[in-house]
Amino acid sequence: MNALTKILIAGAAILGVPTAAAAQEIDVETIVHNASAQAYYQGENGRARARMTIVDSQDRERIREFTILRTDVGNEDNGDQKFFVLFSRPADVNGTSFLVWKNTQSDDDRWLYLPALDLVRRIAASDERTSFVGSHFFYEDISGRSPVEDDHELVETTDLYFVVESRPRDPGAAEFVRYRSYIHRESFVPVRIDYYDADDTVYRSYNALEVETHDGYPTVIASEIVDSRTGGRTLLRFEDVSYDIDLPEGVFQERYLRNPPRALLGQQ
Amino acid sequence: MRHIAVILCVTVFLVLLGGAEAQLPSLPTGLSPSQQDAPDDTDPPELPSGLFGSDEIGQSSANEIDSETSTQGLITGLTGFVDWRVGSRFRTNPNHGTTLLHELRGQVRGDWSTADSTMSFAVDLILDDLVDSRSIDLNAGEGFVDIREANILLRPAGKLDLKLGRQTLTWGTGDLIFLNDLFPKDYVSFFNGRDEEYLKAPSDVVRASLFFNVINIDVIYVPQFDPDRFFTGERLSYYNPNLDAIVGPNAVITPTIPDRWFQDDEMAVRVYRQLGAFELAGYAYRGFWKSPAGQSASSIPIFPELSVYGASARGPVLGGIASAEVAYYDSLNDEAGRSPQIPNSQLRWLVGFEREAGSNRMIGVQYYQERRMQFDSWANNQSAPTRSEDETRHLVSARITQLAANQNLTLSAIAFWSPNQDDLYLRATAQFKLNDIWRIDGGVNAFAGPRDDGFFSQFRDNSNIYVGVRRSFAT
Repeated sequence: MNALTKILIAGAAILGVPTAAAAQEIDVETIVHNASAQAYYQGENGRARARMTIVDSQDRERIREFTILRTDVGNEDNGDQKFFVLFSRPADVNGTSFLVWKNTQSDDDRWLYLPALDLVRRIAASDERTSFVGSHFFYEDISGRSPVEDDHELVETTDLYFVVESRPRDPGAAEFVRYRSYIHRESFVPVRIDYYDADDTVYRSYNALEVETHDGYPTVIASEIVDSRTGGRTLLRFEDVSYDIDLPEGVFQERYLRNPPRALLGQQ
Repeated sequence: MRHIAVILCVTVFLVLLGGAEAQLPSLPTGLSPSQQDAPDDTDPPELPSGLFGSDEIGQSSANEIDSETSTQGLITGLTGFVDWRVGSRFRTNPNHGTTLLHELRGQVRGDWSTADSTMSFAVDLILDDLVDSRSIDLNAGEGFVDIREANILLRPAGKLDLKLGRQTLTWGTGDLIFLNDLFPKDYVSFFNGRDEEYLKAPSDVVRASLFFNVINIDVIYVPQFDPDRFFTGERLSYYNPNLDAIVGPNAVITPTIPDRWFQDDEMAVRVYRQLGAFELAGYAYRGFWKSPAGQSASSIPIFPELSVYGASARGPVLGGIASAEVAYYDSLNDEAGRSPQIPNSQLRWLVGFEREAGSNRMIGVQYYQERRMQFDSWANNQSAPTRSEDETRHLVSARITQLAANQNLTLSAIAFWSPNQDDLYLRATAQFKLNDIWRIDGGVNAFAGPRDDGFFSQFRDNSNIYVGVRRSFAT
């Protein structure tokens, strides 16, 4: 390496311009770890109001509105989490609440509360890659796919993105053969994820559409899943996003499943 | 030569750049907006807006929400539905006509919240084609008004919830089998094609819930006994032991219902906790048999006194959810089991298992047993020992639920079968959400079995098919 190259690299480093050399210093495990932490683990906990617009191949729309509370168990990135979801629309699910204990080492625990019957139902479903409330988002898209479920390879580093290829360690447990993530280099926001089937065709894509910074955390507030097999798509938009809020003990228990903490949920 | 090298380098660079651009997504709004390219489906994504330096956007969005939530203290939204349904028997019933359900029902539901309390109400208005009388009985659910919910939730202390007033109550682990849940049921609605939510009838209670680190406690006080909305013979024909026959409106049950406030009361307690992923609970109840059970000396159906003690566990096993529940029914008016007029004490227990079996498909199985504790004594004292009674009732059930059409279609079937009493109940339902407003549903309730006095087979001539249309609304 000659002196001029050294000076150029040093200058690039000072200016914050990523260079091939700098990019190669970060390994792919760190990239996917950071991307998962960015997408699902920011802050110790969080709250948002969500609106899903589900559009089918004939452009018919269905709406799902819910408030979601999240806490990280032990405030550890990519560890266990708990989620509380309270539905408000459509009208027939108003007041229905849903509790998930996301376990990275075993199946998640899920409970559904049906207010008209005052019934707390334990949900046996273990498949994370089924539709969440009839949308094109899977449960896993909402609560996060653990980075350890896939083998990752950094296939390209562009000016903007780490392009990562991931293949499931258990091919039987996923409907995709591989997926390709475009992870923004500076923020680690996954901007696009393309899922490939056995014909090596993209049949499903996730796109981050809009990012806002809330409480110091860059947050994807608009995203969509496009399903080219069925011709449908779902737009997910978050409002009223906040992090590191005061969560009383027991929010993620049966107590609040039956009687949701409306003040906390911004549904007073 | 040098020129050629430079041109080659530039060309390679441009090709690489171009190739990369062809695959790379453009940045979404909010991520380094200066670097956005024109969107193109085959291109890498644009960065989303707002990733850097867009605090202003976040701020303005938060303000919008603030203005929305500033309506707190008002009724923020009413929801409800209008529901029309009709059901028909598909077997000839000597006691009833073919139509067993024809009604138009509207429900309005609302909440009113302040910082430390929530008031809730839900009221049904019903036009029932099959009843002549429109007089209102809010406990029996008769007449054109049925108040489903009218209560206030208070959080007077961090570890205490109080919910006062009319509310629906459910606990326990069975799938449509209730052991320690002694809250009122409405099997008439359930068997004749109303929505499943009408299986539970509301109670007028004080509910105190205490939450501690080690254990949680629910105490429910019912100042005036709330019986089931039981079979009277008016809507569904049933087996009458005195007449030893299946009867209907010709032999309507008019029992004596304990109704003295604060004397004919009920108390139900649950202590529960989570142990890892397992839910453990203990239960106690003091009150009355919830449906007419036995009769007085003058042959009037009665609700004898009852205590129940039980326990349950539920948790993940073998990739599914397993549950177990036990309850001892202590028939207080005849603990020795000598009276032919009063039910025996009973031991009831069940085990169940449910798991996913394919995409959007759930299956479940249950075994349930009900055993009379002083059967010999009871049987020896029967004045008419002609009926073949059993010491034990065995019941098995199997359920399958399939979601389809983006989860807008729900198909579910559950079958209950008693191998030793040889009766069967099949409940199959289909529900399709046309959109967020309109829903159609239909189903079958089929009862079978040779015995007139079986719990399910007594209803065999009420076997029915029904359809319903529902329009939901929200303000």
